[in-house]
Amino acid sequence: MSDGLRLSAKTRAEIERLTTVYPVRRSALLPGLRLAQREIGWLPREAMDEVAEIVGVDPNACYALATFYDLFYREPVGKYVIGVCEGLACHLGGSGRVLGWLKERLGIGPGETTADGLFTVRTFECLAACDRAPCALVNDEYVGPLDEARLDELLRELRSHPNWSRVSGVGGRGSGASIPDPQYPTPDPRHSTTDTRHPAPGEGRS
Amino acid sequence: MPFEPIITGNVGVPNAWEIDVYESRGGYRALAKALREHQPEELVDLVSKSGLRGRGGAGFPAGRKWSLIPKGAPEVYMVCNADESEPGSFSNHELLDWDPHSLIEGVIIGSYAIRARVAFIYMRGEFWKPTGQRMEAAIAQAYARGYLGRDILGTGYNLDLHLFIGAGAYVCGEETALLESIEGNRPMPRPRPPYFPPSIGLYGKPTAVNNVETLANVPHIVLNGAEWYTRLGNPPRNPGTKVFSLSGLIKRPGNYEAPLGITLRELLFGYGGGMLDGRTFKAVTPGGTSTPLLTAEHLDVRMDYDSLPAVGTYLGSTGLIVMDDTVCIPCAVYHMSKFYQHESCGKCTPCREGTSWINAILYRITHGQGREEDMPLLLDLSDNMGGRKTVCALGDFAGFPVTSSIKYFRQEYEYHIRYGRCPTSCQPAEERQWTISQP
Amino acid sequence: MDNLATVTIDGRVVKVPRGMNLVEAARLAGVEIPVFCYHSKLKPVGACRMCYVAIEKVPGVVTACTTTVTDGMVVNTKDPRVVKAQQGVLEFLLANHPLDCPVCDRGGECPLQNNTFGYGGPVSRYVEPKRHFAKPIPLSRRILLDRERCILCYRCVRFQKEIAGDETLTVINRGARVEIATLPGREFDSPFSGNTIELCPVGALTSALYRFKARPWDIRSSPSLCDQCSVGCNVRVDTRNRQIVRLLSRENAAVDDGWLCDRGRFGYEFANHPDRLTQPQVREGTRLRAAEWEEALYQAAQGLRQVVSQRGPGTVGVLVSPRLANEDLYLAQRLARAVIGTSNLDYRLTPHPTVSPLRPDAASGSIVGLEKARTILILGADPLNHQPVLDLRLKKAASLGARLIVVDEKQTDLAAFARLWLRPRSGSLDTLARGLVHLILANGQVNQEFVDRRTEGIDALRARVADDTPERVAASTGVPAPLLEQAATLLATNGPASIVYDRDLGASDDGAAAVLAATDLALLTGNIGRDGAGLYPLVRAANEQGALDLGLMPRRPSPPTPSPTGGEGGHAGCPAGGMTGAEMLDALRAGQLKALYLLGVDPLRELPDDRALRDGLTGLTTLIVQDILPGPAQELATVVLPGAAFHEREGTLTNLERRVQRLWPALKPPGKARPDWQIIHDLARALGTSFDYAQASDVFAEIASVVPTYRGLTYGKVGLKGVQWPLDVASGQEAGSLYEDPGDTRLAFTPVAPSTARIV
Repeated sequence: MSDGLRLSAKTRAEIERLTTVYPVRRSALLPGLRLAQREIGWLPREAMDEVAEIVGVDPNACYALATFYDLFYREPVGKYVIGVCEGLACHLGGSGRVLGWLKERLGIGPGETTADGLFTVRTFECLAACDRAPCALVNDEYVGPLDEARLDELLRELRSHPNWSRVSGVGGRGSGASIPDPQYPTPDPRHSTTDTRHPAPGEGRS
Repeated sequence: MPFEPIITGNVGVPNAWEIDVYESRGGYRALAKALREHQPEELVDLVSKSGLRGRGGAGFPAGRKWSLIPKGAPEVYMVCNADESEPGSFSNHELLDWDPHSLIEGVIIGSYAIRARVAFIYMRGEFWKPTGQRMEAAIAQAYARGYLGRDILGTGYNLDLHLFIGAGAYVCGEETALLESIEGNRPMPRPRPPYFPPSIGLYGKPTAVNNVETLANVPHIVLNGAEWYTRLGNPPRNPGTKVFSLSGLIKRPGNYEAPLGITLRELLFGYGGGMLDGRTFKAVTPGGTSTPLLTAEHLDVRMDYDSLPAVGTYLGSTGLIVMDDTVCIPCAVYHMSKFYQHESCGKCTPCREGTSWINAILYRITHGQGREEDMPLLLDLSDNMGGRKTVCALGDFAGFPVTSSIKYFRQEYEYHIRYGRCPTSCQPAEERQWTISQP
Repeated sequence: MDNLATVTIDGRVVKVPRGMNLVEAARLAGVEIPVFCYHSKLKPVGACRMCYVAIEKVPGVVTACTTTVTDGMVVNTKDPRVVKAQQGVLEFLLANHPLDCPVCDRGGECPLQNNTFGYGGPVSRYVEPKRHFAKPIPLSRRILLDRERCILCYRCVRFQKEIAGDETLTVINRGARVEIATLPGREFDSPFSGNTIELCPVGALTSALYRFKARPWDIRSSPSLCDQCSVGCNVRVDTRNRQIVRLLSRENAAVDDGWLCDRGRFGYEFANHPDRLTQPQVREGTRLRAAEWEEALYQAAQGLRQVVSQRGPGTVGVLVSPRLANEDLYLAQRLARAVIGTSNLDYRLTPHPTVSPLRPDAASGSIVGLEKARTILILGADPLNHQPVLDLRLKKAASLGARLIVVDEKQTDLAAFARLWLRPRSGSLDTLARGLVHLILANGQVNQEFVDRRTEGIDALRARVADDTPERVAASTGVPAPLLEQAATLLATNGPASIVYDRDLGASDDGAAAVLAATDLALLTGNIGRDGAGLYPLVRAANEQGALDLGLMPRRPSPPTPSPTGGEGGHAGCPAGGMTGAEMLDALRAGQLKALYLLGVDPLRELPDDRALRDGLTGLTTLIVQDILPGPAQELATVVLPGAAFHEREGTLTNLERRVQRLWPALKPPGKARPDWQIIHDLARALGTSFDYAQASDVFAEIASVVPTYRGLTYGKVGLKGVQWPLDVASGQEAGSLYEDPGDTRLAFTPVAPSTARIV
């Protein structure tokens, strides 16, 4: 088991395995960091040192990647990271309102974590789910389109299901989601819209 | 003209991502045909003859790209770019969700065509549930059925396929940055020359980098022939179909596969159902925010690789974000500029500094502190970072919304600068504090 | 046809090598293209976007650094589009630059200032708040980083990655928030970190030592050499107020490729030390007191004369530092042999290593020749610690395609860059090397043509290694047989191959035998006598090679002495065999030595504390200590003579590749200190000789006249870049490689058991 900052033997072994999978050992660096964060929830220096040691690179190389990519956290985050998409489509669809509701309900804005360590709010640039605007990525789960009622329902679910999904932000372990996968439900590809779940016209905006 | 979807045929089919379902719908037949009946070079020829153009945005002929891989190179790689990150584009996302096997089949055929022994699918890090998980499972199924691994279908061809998941960076959609990312380096684009992937690609070896949709077309071309494909869409230069992503203020947002060459009007008002609430169409990003805007005057333009440049924009990755008359264009462009400021990798001076600068100016303009000289300054900065002055196109992309919006909506900027507020009541005051953060 | 392309740059037509980039091509055409990120030693990355040019038939502007010439290319560096784009780049760069030039170390020698002056627009249109960072932050105790000034050209991290081969410095964040950094809490601890200061085109990376010490316009610069190791990197000494303020690289492509290690770059502080010896001292009872030169020299001479006359010259010893210049060493050995009459003369305090039987005793190839090697065997050598900048050259060779084979039980720095890393158990280096000889013989991979024509003794060799089968060698060294096979095959078939080993290896028994086997490997495979194929015994000290060349050791042929009195040459009255340094110390401990002349050497400082040694020194009748800083031996001295540091005198040093290079005086010696050669000269005169050298070049002229390998060399010829001996006097050409001439002397395989090959 992980002691909070260090990797478990299982994860170490998995990263070790990755170093032999790719044509060049260093290619295991990014996947290794993802695995480290999946286990610890963020990337403390200890974890970066460990990944570097296994892959055989300078720990600086981990730091260089951990600070480049959006999905890596260099500080502890809440159990649930609610990442509100602020891409143009979501913006037009009312992502600002979603952030406003979150501020009202949780008392935190982007980049902040609730005192109980349950929630972190952040923003994303486009999440490539523009037909579900305004959408969000909650840990690894896509949710959307969000209106006030659905957001409240989501928060209730997150609070009441202790294993809704393990925090990671970058690829999960087994899903324990109680909200169904927000798959594309429509049968006709030419009309695979989500307009039934779309907020009423203009609702998200004014 | 009757139209059958080609690559979205499995979207919406229950459990289409399971190999049994995929096979029952004809899956992996093209692979067997390709490997058993064709030499690799013949497949390159076939795809060349089909006229298939790269769906990632640049529209480079897919067959020609493959033909640039040096013959007899001992180590060659195939990389599928599934890093779909262009604001407004979500078609790969849906295809990958429903139909991972058709991509895998395309990747195997493409790899065989260029004689690669190792292939990668580079998927953006946000796509994990269910997309990445399904792809992971699909790859395992393909190995189990003998479509991947050693001696594929008894033909003696070997291929290993790795799913490589990113961790959140738009720039990884740029092919050389993507390769740097796989190599474990900071994903900063490489200068071309000399780093053209077909000559110096992954690990310095010849590499073909193809988009999801490009590769998803390949099995259909193998099964139905090049001739068949050349008759689709808007031949001769724009054959085939494209999956268009419609979003924004439109009645029926979603992905729609349609022939290349379809008019913007038919897309927005036919497929997309028109504007919400009967409002008036104002502007759209034809190929994601990284392409110059189109307006009502362009509704009859054909959506393909050659017709859009004629009106000063690009097909890009066909992410159409629709804006109607309630949208304040400078505010929308400010919003877009935030994206480029956030995603610039920081390598090239003009893009690194220019994206921030433009964002800061647009912040001022949309917050009542615009100056008369700001508009010429915006245009000049866009010029100084655009026109291929940076290693990758991000420098150009960041300028496109700015220059095109000033071209078509100059009066809205002037209004902001003069009166310090939006010409439309686009954002209530209480909302603004959340949608607009300090740059 | 030929390898040249004709390009027109701003109307000038030049022929340049194909594949050259446009920045370099323009330089050849005499056209300047401004750059920040481009550096001729680093791979072009096209990051700063300063070097735009317009090319006919190419749309827009392109960066010169990433564009290679093609025949018929027409380039315009003054096109209006280029001018505008460059103004744009400078405006972007300066938008967040603090413009604190008046307090910036780089001010006055800053490429950003220069390019702004030359290519910038008149005004900035940037009115937004600038980016602010705490400044400066220490990256290490040597180097500070000012992130506000950084223009993100990435030269520093590229140097570390491409040249030094490490990631001790990196880049974090992205976009406008990108910074040069290290992992928090981690030091930028590369042994080559100082190069990044010089590479930095702004004042972002500054030296903690130099910071605020001087401005470029109140500095005096002088060429010099680094004397910290045997590579002999060329430096520029910058002085102000009679102090060194910094050392910079003075690029000599053949030696240092433009780089310095931190030991060299920052190791000059001893020269500025406030305790520098500035005045001769003589003993008065229990204390030393200041004296004038006449008195000190008289006392020293008297002391020596007394011991020689009462106890005989055999009780006098002379120990010299191998960091001293050739002029000092030459006169020191003349003083010992011809004036005092002793051969108790050495530059080492420890036993001499066994060396290769080939003569002369020196590296057969050149440093730059290593770049031509396809295979390099690195045998028990750790250049990073002893010859750091050579370490960079070996990495460069590896990046140019050479396969490195590292043989070392320890994981040396180069092991990470090696194709093969063989780890013989401690004490089995010789077995491994003989195993390679065996394999090459057994596999028929011998270069028979070379062996027949140039060597002798192969049959004896065959017999000697008959038992060193891979199985046995694997068993006793712990190195798997397949690795031995691969190494032997690379050496024999992937030529040219070079063999690099630490000359001090020969001090241990297995090392000594390994050195001999290394010579055999070179001869067997014909890898000697041409570029890329050389045998490199690495010496360590700055002028150790000079000490070898000039015979600064007993039982070694010494230069004949042209008598300044016009008398006969040779060493009249000098016993044939003297004591080595180690033997002298033993004699000292036993009370058998009565006088000792220490030149730049202090046994009490360099050896572990040793009561008997201290007693021996205390018991000396005469102890002359000549040095530049105080040391423990001085407390026991009868006379102390203050010498000059490397940058205060003229002279020459011979580096590990036989390159004779010059020192120049950047400053006068402090106080009354004098150059060492001059002190020896003065002492010899006080002893009654008629030594008469007016300047260092007179001494060097005599060296050139009596030492065959130095024949034809003059200060003029040595010049700024140095000359590798031997000079072909007829052609005036220096020899890159020894043994290249298929003359009549055959090169001998190791004739006998190693123990008898010990030559001192």
